[in-house]
Amino acid sequence: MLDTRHSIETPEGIALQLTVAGPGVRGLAFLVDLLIRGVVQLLLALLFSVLGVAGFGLFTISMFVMEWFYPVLFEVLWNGQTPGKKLMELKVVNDNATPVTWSSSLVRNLFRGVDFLPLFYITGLVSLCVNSQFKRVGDLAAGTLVIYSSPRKSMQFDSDAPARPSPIPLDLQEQQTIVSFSERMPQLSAQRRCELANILQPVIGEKDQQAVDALVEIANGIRGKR
Amino acid sequence: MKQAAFEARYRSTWLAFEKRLNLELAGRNTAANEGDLALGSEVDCSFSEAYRLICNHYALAQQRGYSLSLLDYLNDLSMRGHGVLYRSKTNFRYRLIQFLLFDFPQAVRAEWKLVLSASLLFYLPLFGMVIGIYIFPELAYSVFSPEQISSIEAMYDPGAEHVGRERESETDLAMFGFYIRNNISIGFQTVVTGIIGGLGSLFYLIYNGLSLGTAAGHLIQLGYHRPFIGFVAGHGAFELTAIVFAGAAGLKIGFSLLFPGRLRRINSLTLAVSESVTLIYGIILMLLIAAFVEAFWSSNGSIDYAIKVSVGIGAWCVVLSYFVFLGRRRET
Amino acid sequence: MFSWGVAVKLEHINAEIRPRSSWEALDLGIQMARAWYKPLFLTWVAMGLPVFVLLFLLLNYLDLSWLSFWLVWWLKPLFERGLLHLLSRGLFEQVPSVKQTLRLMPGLLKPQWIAAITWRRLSLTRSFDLPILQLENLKGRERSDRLSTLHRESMGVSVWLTAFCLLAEIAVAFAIYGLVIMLVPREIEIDWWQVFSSDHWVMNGLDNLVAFIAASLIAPFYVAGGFSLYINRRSHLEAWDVEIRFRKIMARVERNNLKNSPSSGVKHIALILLLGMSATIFPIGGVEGSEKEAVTPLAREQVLQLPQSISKQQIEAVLKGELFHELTVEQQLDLDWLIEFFESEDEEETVDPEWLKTLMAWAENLAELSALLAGVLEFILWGILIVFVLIVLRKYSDWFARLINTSLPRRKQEKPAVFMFGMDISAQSLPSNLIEEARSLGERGLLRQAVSLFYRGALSQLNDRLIEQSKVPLSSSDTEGDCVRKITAIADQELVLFVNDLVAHWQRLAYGHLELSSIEFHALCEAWAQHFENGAGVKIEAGFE
Repeated sequence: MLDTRHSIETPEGIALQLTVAGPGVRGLAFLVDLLIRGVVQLLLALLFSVLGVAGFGLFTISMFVMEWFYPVLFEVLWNGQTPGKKLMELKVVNDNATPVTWSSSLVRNLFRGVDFLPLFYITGLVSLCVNSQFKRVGDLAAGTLVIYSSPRKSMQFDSDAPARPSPIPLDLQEQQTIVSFSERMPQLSAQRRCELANILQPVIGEKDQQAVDALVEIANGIRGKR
Repeated sequence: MKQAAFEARYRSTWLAFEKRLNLELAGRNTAANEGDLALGSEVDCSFSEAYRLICNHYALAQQRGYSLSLLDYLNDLSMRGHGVLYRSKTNFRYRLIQFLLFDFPQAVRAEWKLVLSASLLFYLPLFGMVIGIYIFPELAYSVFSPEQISSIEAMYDPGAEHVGRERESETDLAMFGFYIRNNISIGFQTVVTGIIGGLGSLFYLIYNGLSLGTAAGHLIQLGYHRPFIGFVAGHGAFELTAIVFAGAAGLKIGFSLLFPGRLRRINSLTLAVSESVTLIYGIILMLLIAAFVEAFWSSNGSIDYAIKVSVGIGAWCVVLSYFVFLGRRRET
Repeated sequence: MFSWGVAVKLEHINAEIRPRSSWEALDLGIQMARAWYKPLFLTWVAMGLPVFVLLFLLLNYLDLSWLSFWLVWWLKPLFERGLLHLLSRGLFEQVPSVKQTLRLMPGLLKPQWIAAITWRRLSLTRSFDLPILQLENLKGRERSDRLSTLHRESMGVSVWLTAFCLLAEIAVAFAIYGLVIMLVPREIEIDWWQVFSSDHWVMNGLDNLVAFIAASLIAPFYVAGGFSLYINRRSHLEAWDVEIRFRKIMARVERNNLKNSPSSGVKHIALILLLGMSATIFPIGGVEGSEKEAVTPLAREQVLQLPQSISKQQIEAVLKGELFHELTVEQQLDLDWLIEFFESEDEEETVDPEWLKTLMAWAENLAELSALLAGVLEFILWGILIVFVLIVLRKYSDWFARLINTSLPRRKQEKPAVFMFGMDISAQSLPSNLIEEARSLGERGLLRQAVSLFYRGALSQLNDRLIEQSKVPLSSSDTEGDCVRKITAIADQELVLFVNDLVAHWQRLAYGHLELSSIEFHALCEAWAQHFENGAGVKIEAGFE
């Protein structure tokens, strides 16, 4: 089954689900960071140019820091995110889902040099496309992943609703399907809801709006409402 | 248990855990002390216990096939708890001292075979070239072009007012910046290109050895050895050693891919890299010191040659004894 | 039985379909391309390579070989149809073999092929739009309505997909060259610029081939990315994934019924249901094998041209609904962190500053903005193309003119060159006693300057002769090879040999930095004097002992 989600076993014995991010978003995040870095360096150049020769020294130091440590500093101090990654809702974690450390962040960014070879990040691109977890060489060496940082989910614990039992026995996946139908209903047009519910007409024995209602009630039943 | 009952029963636990997560995260930024955190815990248990509870709930929800949105919610909670629990909490100052007194010298000794090979790969061409040029002076032109050689000559001409690289005293800072950027970048390249089966590191070691040896040999043969050695003496101990370490780290990474042993290649690489990280930190540190010395001490023309040479010898002694003697106590 | 097969395979749907963010959907596309890379790549090459080779042979004959890759590039939308067919089959069934796909190609190519390679060619959402044409069989007004619905969300990402794939193609092509240069040891001094800009047909062919390989390597990702975006959009809009799962439930239920009570009536119902289902997965683009022919009419009827409910008005209604609106904003750009970031400064004040509200509003409009941007970009692309065509037309104007009137001489009005390879070859710039000058330079060891003088002198005189005999004069865009070719027209073999010699000497000095022995230099002086002194170079019988 092709998916971009990967399970990570934790010491607590649960499987955390991480959604790894591919070349597209990461490329865009990189471009954003590049832009920010460019602008900051330009501003620094203007600022330091006032200081003459000594300013040149400060400027080269700042260039050096921006070149090698801009991503490292942000990733470690800002929850695994550079500004570009934040904008694209990405973050870097170790591949056991723990927050990225100084060492792993340093390594993955040092190996950027290898990913760049022979030019334009081709090695990195090939590596991203070949690896099922979208790892570039730096990620492979450091043991890191770039994942989507899910926006905070807040759960709607909703009120009572009528429920009914399912007319046929359903396995877990089928139950989940019916519940997700009821959860995603608001985004569908009334006609489309009926159309979907009618597929199950032979099973639930109702049609159109009645079938939709029946499905919602079955979903409520699955979730255990009374 | 039905999902609704499950939700009703544990809802308050989850919400409390959410609140606690936020507090833990905030606690890291403001003064993190135990008292603050205790205030947030409505459930009377440690954070790790609370986290294990959430994990337990998540595992149950997965097993019972509750709705996707609840699974997503619990996955998110567990993820964030996992992140908070496993974030590194060690004290930076403690880590630094630990690194300086134990980790770094121990790591160098642990890799002594690679460090020795890297030293040979670097110093053999270096001294070979010095001796070679002493016997056949025109050998220098096989490595450098005439223009390069004349610019090297100009830099260390004893007749010139400033020996080393020509500059005013206020440009020391500028050169500091330049050395940092240049030298550390070369150090990083030496490490990182090792991933091509060690070839990159091999190349940088030999190439740097050859070119340094050529410059030294040529200048000595011209009789410019005083300004040259005076300049190089101070920072040489740090810079040359750092380059050798960088080569060793690169070779380690390369060999891990070539000879993974019983591991999968990728795991062997990750392991080698994580073991090299201490060396990489050390390389950064040593190159920073080298750049500082090079910019503010080596290039100072007013210091006497004898002082510079003795300081240089002193630096070599310090560096060597650091790696030979330090951190023995905690080794098993 | 056919429908059985589908029913079974439906459970083996090969990718996890659920509503995702557009970027995530793109990532799933990359996973698809990864999983089926070999058949995708081979299918692409099997379609593209013959066309490319034929075009190259044809165009090389017409001296326009550089055009061959660009023509193949221009035809890409047609080849992409094969890949999409493969992907849409691969999602549910076995990935069809290269042969099967190729056999279907005529049917796949037919619909709207003119549009695909003319006014739609530069569309920036090409791979996202293709499924609407090929899998939903829409055209005209229906198609554009459907497009505007689907574009509402994923358009920005699909434009980025096109942009990134274009960049990746260029990067891969350059990387291939870069690798070649890296792998050749530095000791072998090669003037790469000379090699790559050479006009030789082998070099031209290699250039084109590299570009073709780069395009072939990227194409599977491009098509799969667009396909996945399309699937994802439908999951959002129509809960398409729920539909598949519902049908799966029905399939299971019917199977159980069949097993338990194999009465013919139930069987019959099941069959119809399954047939309907198989058709719903994807409309069948072409006819595939005779056994399926019986199924096709039914399929065509039920084909999910679209679920009937997805007419435009209803979607508008849903889109206007509050909940949906909220959701879309959230999916577009989550700016919560920004708010948090600013709120953390002083936590008491929770009033959103005015500018932040504006920013949020702006974020809401991102989708419209990206649509506008894509429109503008497409406009610009067309502009560039038109300019490019004009330039080509101008450059090859005489070629076109000769097509019409074969008696026209080649490049009649071309001005004689004054500068060749950055050197001044006008007679005024040369010393009157060129030989003496060159000899004295040579004696002072300045061989390079001396040979340069000979070279310039020779070119200058030859150019004058070309003009005298009203042949095509040298032009500053000529390569050394071109010069020799032009000179062949007016000089005898000896002179041509000498000029060749001179060119070789010059190239060795200028590019190879190899020295010339003094004997060689003197020989050169003698020979030059014979050919060019007093402008009497054509006859050489006069005394060479």
